[in-house]
Amino acid sequence: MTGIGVVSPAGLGIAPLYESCVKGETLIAPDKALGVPTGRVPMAVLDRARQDLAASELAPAFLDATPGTEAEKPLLMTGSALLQALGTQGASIFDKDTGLIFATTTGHIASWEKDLPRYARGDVSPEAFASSFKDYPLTRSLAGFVRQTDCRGPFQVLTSACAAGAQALVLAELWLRVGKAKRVVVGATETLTNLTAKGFGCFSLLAPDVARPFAEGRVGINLSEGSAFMVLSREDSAPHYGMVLGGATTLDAFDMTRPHPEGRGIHQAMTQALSGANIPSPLIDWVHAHGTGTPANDSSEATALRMLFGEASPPVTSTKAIHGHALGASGLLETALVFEAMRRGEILGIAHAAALDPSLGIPVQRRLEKRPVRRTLKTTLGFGGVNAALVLERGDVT
Amino acid sequence: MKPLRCLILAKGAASVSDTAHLESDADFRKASVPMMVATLAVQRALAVLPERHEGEVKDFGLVVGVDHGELEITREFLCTLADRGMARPFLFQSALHNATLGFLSLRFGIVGPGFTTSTHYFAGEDALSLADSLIRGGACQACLAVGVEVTSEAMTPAVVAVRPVVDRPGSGAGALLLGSEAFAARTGLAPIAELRSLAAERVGKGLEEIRAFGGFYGADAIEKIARTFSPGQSEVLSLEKPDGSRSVIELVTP
Repeated sequence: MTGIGVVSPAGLGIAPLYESCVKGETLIAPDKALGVPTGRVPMAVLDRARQDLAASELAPAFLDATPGTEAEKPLLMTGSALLQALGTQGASIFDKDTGLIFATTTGHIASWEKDLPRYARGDVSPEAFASSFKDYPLTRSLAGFVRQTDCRGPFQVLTSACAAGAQALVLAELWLRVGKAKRVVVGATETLTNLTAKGFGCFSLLAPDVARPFAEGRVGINLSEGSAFMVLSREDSAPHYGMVLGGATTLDAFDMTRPHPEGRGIHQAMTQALSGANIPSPLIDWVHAHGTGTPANDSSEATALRMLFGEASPPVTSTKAIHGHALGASGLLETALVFEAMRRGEILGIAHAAALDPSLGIPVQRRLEKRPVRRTLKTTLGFGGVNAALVLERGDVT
Repeated sequence: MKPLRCLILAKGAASVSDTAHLESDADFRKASVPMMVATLAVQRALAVLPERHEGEVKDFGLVVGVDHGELEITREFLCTLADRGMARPFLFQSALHNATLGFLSLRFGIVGPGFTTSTHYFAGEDALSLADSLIRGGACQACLAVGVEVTSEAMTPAVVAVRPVVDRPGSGAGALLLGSEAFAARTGLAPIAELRSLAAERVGKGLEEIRAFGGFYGADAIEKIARTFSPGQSEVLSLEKPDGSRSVIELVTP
């Protein structure tokens, strides 16, 4: 992984997000618009992203929406994270050997979901509704960029719910391994929407305050937003922040919304990822879990981890009490945190003070610890019973 | 390393009108129309699988290509919320683009690798390409590539307003069973075709090349192959899109 870009509620770049995790300062705050605590990307951060993009070659691709609108937000987040990840190489790396994988769950729905009921009632004409509804394709955030670069390499927009971001890395590793691409730019963006806030709310999956992954009495998640991009390449000699040694994705075939209670699907994904990486489980130093803070998710993941590691589990962390759950972007944002932690030789802590659930039977990491970490296992789970696991290795950039 | 060959071993297609009998079926009580039509397409593709190999379906890969996603369910969820202040769990879980993948996984007991891809006009082509990558990369020996789209009648005027060159959006589903040579040999399935290459020119050449398409939808590449390709043919399918972009799929007789 030779390039990385992040937009999060903490700001631009991986550093502010990582510092929030180190300090244990949650980015979750009351959200009047959605009525539940969320992790929003502040306007000042979006303003900075707009400025950076305006001064870059990517301006035509990402600055074509009205400033300050819901339609502009995912474009700014996507464009800024991509700009950071490309670094000095710029868009020139996009040739026929460069793949592009983007992940999202809801895309630009925030820009048209409010108008849809008015259109359905006949209060606005189809033509008037089309001015916002034109953004409905989930390719929207990258449409301008695809036009700019002509995008001659392989391209995918993955929409496999909350596992999509991690799946993007699984697929990138596969493309590089089978020679479908020589480098792959992987990204994910998610913004807060009424659809997801009310949707997760009606399943009673939202926490009324800051989420408490792996805690006793945990009640649910905090929705959040963000974007992350990474550049992956097969060139072993290039300085790199880290490597994706292996990845796998599986289906539960159990329930549309609940993970398998015994964690069968995520266990299988972890086993396959380790096997693909040719790394036995004792060589894993840290697990960065999905750890949403719902009773079902954390229990399912813990069961799978016990099955995989037995009594010798490495420390397990979820950082969602800090940054919330950015759905389709969560896997990629959290993988960025993992690479940064390994680079610094640190294991991040759970970042909440609530009593841990002893029935889970896994060694949850409470606080930040200075310790060399060579390999980390990253997990994600999503609606539809989709699971993804990644085996990540520390890079040589210090 | 010699690259694996990816073979098309079975195909199935279904129309929305085929699903009428499923509406009273208890197994489909919580199914949207895209879930139903995709299920039928997969059932038809799997019909050729010898009974002694049916147990292997659980390990298949499953890739669903869909562009609009669950537009009708999304409309229903948002309108129920706006008009009655009610958020209904079933509508939310079915509103996500990934819902059909989850339903098919449950319906057929598939626990192999699963993806949903939504690359607008190329959702079908990209589902096919992704299934091909999974097999070539050894993630599975066989994979179902499913293209599905069901256009909401209520949303059609808005879709047409966004895509003025489309006569009317189309609906349907197609499913292709792809497999490695080893899988074909083991199951005795005779290959229909080999997927030789798949290329996409994603950037339209301009308004002058846009022409009206009847019944176009983003995931229809798979349905076109499932309905029109005959074993023994070699064919280069050039699929033009409403904005002048296009894909070229080369299928050859193994």
